Amino acid sequence: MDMSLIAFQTVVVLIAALLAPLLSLLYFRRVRLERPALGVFNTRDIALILVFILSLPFLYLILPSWVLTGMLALTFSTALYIALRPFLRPLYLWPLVAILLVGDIVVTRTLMGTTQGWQIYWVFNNVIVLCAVVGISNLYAQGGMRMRQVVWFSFILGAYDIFFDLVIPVSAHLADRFHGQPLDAAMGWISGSYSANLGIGDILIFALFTISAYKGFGRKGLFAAILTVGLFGAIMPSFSPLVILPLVRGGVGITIPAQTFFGPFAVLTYYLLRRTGPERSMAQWTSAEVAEGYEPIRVTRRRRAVAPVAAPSLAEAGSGQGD
Amino acid sequence: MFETGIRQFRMAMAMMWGWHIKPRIIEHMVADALKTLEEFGSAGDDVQQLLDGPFADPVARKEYQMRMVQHTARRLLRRSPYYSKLFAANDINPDKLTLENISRIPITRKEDLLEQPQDFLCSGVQPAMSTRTTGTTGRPAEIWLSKYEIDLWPALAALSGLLRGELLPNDCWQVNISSRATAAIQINATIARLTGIRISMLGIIPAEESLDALSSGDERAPTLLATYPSYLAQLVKEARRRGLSPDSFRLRRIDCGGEVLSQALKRAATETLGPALVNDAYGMTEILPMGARLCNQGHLHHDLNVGFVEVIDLESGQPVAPGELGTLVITPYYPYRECMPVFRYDTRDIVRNLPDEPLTCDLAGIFATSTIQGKASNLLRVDGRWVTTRDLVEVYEALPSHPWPARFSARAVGDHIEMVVSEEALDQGVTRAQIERRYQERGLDVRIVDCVTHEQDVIQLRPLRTDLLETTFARRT
Amino acid sequence: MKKAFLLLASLALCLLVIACAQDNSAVRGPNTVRMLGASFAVASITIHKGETITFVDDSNEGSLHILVIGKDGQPISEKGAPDFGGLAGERLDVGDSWTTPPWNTAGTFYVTCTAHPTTMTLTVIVI
Repeated sequence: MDMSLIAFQTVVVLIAALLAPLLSLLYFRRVRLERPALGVFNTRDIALILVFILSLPFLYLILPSWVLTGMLALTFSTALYIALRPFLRPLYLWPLVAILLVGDIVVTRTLMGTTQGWQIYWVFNNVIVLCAVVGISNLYAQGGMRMRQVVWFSFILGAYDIFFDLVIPVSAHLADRFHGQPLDAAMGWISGSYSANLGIGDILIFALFTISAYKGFGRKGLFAAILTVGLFGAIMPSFSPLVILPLVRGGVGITIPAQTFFGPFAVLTYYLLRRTGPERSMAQWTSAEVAEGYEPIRVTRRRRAVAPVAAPSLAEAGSGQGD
Repeated sequence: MFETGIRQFRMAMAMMWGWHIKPRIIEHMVADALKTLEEFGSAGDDVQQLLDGPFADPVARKEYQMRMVQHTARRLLRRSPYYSKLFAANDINPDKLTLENISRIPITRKEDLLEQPQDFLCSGVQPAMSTRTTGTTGRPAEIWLSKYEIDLWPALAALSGLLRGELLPNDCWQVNISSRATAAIQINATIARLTGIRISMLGIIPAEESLDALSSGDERAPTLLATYPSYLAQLVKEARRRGLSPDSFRLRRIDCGGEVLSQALKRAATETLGPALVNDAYGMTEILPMGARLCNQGHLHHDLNVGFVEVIDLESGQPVAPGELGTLVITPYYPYRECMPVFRYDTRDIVRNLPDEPLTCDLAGIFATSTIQGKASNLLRVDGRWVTTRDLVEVYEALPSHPWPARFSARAVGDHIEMVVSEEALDQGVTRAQIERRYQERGLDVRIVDCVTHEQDVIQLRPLRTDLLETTFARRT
Repeated sequence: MKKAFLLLASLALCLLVIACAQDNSAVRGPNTVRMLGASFAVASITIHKGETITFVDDSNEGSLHILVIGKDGQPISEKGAPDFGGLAGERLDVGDSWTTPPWNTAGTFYVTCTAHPTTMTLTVIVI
């Protein structure tokens, strides 16, 4: 194994693994997204997301490229809208989204025969994926997803990763399928002959893990999360090919099942934090922030000035029976 | 989160198209609301939209009303013996009904319900529980409800209560309403079960006992009270007699209905029992689950997602002009009523149509009238104008003698009103002349012709719901 | 006689043109390089001057490849090498195939994939 490649990969993955969670956390503290009137993430929601995540890649393997690109464009534009809405009005936001997505596609078609072209591609792609992860992780975390749910989610994904890497090697095909395509669902970099990237699924899990740890357990949760992500989400998986031969595809390419390493340690981290006290709810966390005089940016949809009507109320159903 | 979204969608579709609303879905949404409150401390940003229903826009709402009126009428034609005969006799085609020509359909009166109750029962629906009106204005009417209605109304009320912040998960609710109001009792008990709040169904028991429960001082003391204005008056008087202050109570809200609640009594209840809000709501057994609630400017806003509301002139039977008095005529929609529904039911509750100008209250945009002014049967025609029960009660209960609840009888004699008052009105040095002067300041020529002292005679002056006393074998020592 | 000769010559010319047009597909046979997920199926290929190479992205095991003249993912300008699409490179998706322009200059050239820089460098020997 080329140690320089390992080192390069480690640096790239570490930056991607930590940058997204830290930006997501900053966003979590600064912005309060709109949430529906009713609803909290529960186990069934996680199961549904899991089914979606596990089955979608297989769909991607059989779809024509242009269909895949279309679906990715739709998905990313939604995610970017969610993430950037608090800062930009739609008048500026949609053109920016269009520039990013179209730029990514154009670069893919015209400049990928050079290293510099690839680097421009990764700049576009990294910005898109980073913004999407920040938006989606906050949507889930602010929708009530708890650390307990995130860690078990990660654990199950880890099992999925190891199975589809070593037993039925589909993950490698998936990585190949996306690599170099427009709107690759990954963050990465290339330098000379060295190329490395980290998938959006892993980045999203790391971001959710960090936000929920901070929300649930405060600063000690944040510290534990960053340590876990860095060590077991980035460094250990990057060095794993040195010791785990099946992961090296005859020396011709590497797909690292990051969640396989991260998942169990994420669960462990959670239960260690739990020993220090119960996980806080959003209400408890918000109260603590308010007590510190903290005021986030609130995102509210522009509403038409319409006339509301009443729904059956408690008082009407109860005592008021005039006759 | 996703399941909740689907349930909301299903509820919205059912409300929009008049389909049967599955009570189970609403019950699940109540559970979702509880989990939301537990996690976030409050409902989400879209809560107003959820409460508003699918038709917040006035134009869309009008279309919705017409569709629902037709939908309800079509069902009545098929399933209600009374209304199929009525429609046939008046050549009514439900498909051609509009909000403008609905007045072609004769009004349904309480007498119709009393004379032909069986004809109001819809075919294909199994009656499950009956409830009777309290009969304070005559013979009580019996209304039958289906299991669907018994399950649906409290679920909707529980959901709305949680989302509006009227109910909190750690509330304790004391209910002092007559046991005859079986629908209300059933609804309140189910609301408590669905939301997990504690409930004490005390009924109309001696005020001292209710006050003991209200002022118990521990963490189980009630935070919510539902009762009638006349019973509230008894509680306030007893509390004042004991020298209690708001610190003795944990009340944050009192819901009143069924009688006229005067501003003076409302103020006294706030000052003595301490709740942040004394709510004067409107509802009626025959038109359940239709209701209305007050805004911060004292208008009565009616729930148009659930039924159609008209204000009809007492004499002409036509819609009243702005500023004029009329009776509330209400049509609860299907699927909110299915077992023994009514169409254009004349409640005989008098309201004043509001002036034709935009509202600026916190419920602006929701159709509103004045508060209930009293029953049509108690209207007095004096000097070419109508004098309502509220006109008289507001002045009476504001007297320095605090004669709560207001016990008087009044009749129109030529150009003035003759009033017989209770002895209590003349306490604290208040004289008949002072009372008459107060009425004059309000433009009313009232002459006090007699004063009644004996308790039974006082009650007979003006029977109120607080008189429906429920006693026990135990004697208070 | 003269007319018959001219007719025959024209026919031969047509046949030659048709044969030339079909030549690209015929070339697939001996000078085909299969591409897998992140590698070429062969490490090098030897062809004659004027011949072409057909790169085939395997339908089952292939992936996106972006081919340029160069080594280890780095494009190198080599005199005499055919055009591989300039800055964009030659982009082949799964199941695609592409036949290069003729290799008219003898020598040793390299073809690399910028998407798989460390694992895809093909040596092309033109004799």
